[in-house]
Amino acid sequence: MSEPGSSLGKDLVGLEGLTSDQILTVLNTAEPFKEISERRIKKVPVLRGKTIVNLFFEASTRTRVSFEFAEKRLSADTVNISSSGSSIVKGETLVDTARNLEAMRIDMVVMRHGSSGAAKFLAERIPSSVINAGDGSHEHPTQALLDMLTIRDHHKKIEGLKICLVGDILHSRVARSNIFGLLTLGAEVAVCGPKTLLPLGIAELGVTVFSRIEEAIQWADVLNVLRLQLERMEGGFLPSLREYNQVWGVSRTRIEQAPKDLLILHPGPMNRGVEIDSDVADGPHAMILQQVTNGVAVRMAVLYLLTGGAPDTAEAAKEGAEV
Amino acid sequence: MYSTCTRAGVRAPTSTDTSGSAAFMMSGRDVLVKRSCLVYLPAPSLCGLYPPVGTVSDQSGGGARRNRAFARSSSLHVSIMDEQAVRRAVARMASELVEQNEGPGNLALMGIQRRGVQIADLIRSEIERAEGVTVPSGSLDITLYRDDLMAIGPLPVVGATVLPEGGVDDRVVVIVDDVLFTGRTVRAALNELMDFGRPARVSLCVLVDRGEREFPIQPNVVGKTITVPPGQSVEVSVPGLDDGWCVELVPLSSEAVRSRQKSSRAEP
Repeated sequence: MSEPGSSLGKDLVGLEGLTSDQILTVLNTAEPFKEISERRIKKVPVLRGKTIVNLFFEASTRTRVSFEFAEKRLSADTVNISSSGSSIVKGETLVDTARNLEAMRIDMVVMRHGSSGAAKFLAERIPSSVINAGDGSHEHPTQALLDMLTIRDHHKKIEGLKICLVGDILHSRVARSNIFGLLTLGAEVAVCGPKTLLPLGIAELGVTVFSRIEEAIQWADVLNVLRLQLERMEGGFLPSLREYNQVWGVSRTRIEQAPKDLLILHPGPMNRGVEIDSDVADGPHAMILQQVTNGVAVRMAVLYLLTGGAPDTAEAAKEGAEV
Repeated sequence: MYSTCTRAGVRAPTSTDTSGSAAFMMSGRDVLVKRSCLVYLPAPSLCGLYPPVGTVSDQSGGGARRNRAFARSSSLHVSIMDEQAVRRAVARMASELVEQNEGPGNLALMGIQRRGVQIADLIRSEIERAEGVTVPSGSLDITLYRDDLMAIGPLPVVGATVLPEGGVDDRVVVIVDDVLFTGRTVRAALNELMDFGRPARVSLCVLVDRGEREFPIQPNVVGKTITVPPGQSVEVSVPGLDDGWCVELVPLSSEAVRSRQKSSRAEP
């Protein structure tokens, strides 16, 4: 997957295994794409004639809309498929669905799926590029990339920063992608949450574990507050949401204790009053809407990079035959 | 003023190696003279193209990636304009621009990334010096508008596009670039510019016009018009990215020659 340049290869399945060069290539490419969304005509012709299918087997607003804007602003033709209303409810398998789409000559699939590993499974079976928009509790690479871009916008670097992921680590694909990506870029990463919501052996990934939110706030430069995935919690992970908020909630009184200028991220959608209080979410430390804006730029960068190869070899080629 | 740059690293001419003898002739005094010299060389044609002067494939290690510094030290560069000549040309270009547009009032400069930006900056400071007016300026990166983006495979790094303060609407927008060749870059720049608004007029200003257009595009203001011998290319150096101002005739890298042969597609 990692060639001499910083090519992403055919697919973006996860951040695990990517080199820091590859990750930085995406972040650096996202920078000029931010400006396109500020233009009066928010469209460049770079993916003209490419067909992209957004295949969403799980509910999503932000990610799907963000991908769709990114695709449309690069002039790609897009089709959205969600599991309800499609032949998936009739029992068609994932591969059959994808092969049928493939038969209509598509170039890329953006997929969200409830099963971990679904993106890799599909990527190995179809010639089109596959972008993982979240697979089960495995990875959500573009979310982690936009988190990193937002952190870098603010701190001008990632290396050496202390970033703590707070809350439901167990069900969170955002947490895994963040851990892989941030560690690769040289950040210090910690997790903090109730024992029932921390995966066994999480420390083996190279992260610090805090058992109290107050300790995490003392330590961190950035808090990435994760959503409590209530829809995946039928097994009695928590006594009550109110108790969770009392013990783990990111509240104004807690972040006022922070020794540093703390940055608060949240991948959304927020459970206000559960993992994050409204006065923090709407406060000056929160970068939550900035994350959404950056999400479009990062996804444009990923789409753009997956249609080509490594920028640095191209730069040499461009230099070689200028004019 | 016209001089041969670094000779070091070029092999002595042999019966099969024409680059050395070409190199010798390249020390002539005028580009056109140089061209006629080249025409009379024994023609070891590479599908109609002469081998790049000073670049021998075993020397550059086959498909070695082109590196400006490496190329400069190991092959022949013929100077066309030195810093003083560039500054004089840019001063004239600036005054022509102001003259053509009856004053600098409505001008906005847009330099094409990369190297067009530095030339636009120099034009801006010349206008400022002569007229006492600071012209708004910006930059254009045409990467996403290239017509060969899907064909060249690897994608170039995308640079910053910055609009001049106040936008482009109802202004005389001057597109500034280093070298005008096929016209494809300018075509892309025009398309991009149209996505930003409706300029009153668009004008084209280039430091070097080397002819051989593939699109019906004409510059309004030119620093120097030259004819480039086959197998060679024009390279503009600017402070910041390179060592300083100069315009040189350089051998095309073997890689670039190959890619030109493969598809007749020309670089923008």
